[in-house]
Amino acid sequence: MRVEPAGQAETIEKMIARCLKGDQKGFESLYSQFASGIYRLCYSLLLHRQDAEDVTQETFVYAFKNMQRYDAKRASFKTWLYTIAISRCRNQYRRKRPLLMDIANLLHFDVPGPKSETPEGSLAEQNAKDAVEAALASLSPRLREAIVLRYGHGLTYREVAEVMDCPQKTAESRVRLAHEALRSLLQPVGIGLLDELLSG
Amino acid sequence: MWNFNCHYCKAHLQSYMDGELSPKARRRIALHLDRCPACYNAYMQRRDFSHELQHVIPLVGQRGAPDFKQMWGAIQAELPRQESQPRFYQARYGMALLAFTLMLIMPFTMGHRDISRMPPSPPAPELLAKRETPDVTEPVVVATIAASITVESELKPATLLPTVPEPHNQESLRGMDGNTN
Repeated sequence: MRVEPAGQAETIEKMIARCLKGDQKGFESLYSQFASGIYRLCYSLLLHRQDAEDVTQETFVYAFKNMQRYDAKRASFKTWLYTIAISRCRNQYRRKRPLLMDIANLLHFDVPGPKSETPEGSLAEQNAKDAVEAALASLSPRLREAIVLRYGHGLTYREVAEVMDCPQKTAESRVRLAHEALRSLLQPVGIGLLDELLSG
Repeated sequence: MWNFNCHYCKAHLQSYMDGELSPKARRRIALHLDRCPACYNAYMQRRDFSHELQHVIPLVGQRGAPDFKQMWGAIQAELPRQESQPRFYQARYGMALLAFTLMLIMPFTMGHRDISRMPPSPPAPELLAKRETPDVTEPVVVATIAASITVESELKPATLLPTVPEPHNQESLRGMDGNTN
């Protein structure tokens, strides 16, 4: 199933074709297109900056070395890349149990927000983000993957199922369960305020 | 007041919000939400929460993002370099191809003669010598030469043919023989 819009899909196909010819520019274009998304995905699942960076790097190295294995008929490039990233993140869970949150991030060592933001808004957003990170950390890996893919990256249930290698109904129920769990975890924090701050 | 419709509605509320239901199921839930305040309340809470999650979850990992250029440098270092073939090899393959083509063409260009217009080549002297002194050990050759001699003899003028005795002469000869006997 294709994720990219028609125009973009053509561009990605061209990039892939260039990569298959061994053109370094093709790799660079694909990297710049997906690096941010893959890092966000890895960070949302691992909640550790260094681990997320390592897994992002591993994902791209693996994908670029095995580019000839990618079959455009079976999945979009984004889905294929997400599948590799999820698989690497699972390896990382196995190596590092229990899940540890990035202490530096929690202590706000490096959160210089944009100057246009008000300090109150920035603080509220940071608090909400921390609360969400803590809630995500308390979820089981499978539920975390499902909710992050669905709400963090806007994948359809079919794509979530494809990336998680499970039936679509299972993906749906995982998203529902994660949704319920996050609701019960975040409602006492008062996350509802964030919506007003973001829209304001 | 909970009934079957409330259970159905609760179970499919998430799919309803995500637009993943069939038009018929969607219409059924929409009708129920219009009539049931409890389910409508639950729907509104869930919808608001989903909306918040859609805003907040993408923020996770956005701040303090790594230096992607530096990461690209590390990735690039691990990628296999494209091995460009030196021009020397290309020239060598070209030369080899040219030599092969020349080898193919050479027999046709160097020994070219129009065979159809040429007179037949005279028989070799060895063959003539054989005709004169046929080898007895080779019956086929002998037979061939004999046949050729007979053909040649047929082609010769009558004057050259050896004289064959007439039948009456033969009878006279027989008579002579008989007389002698």
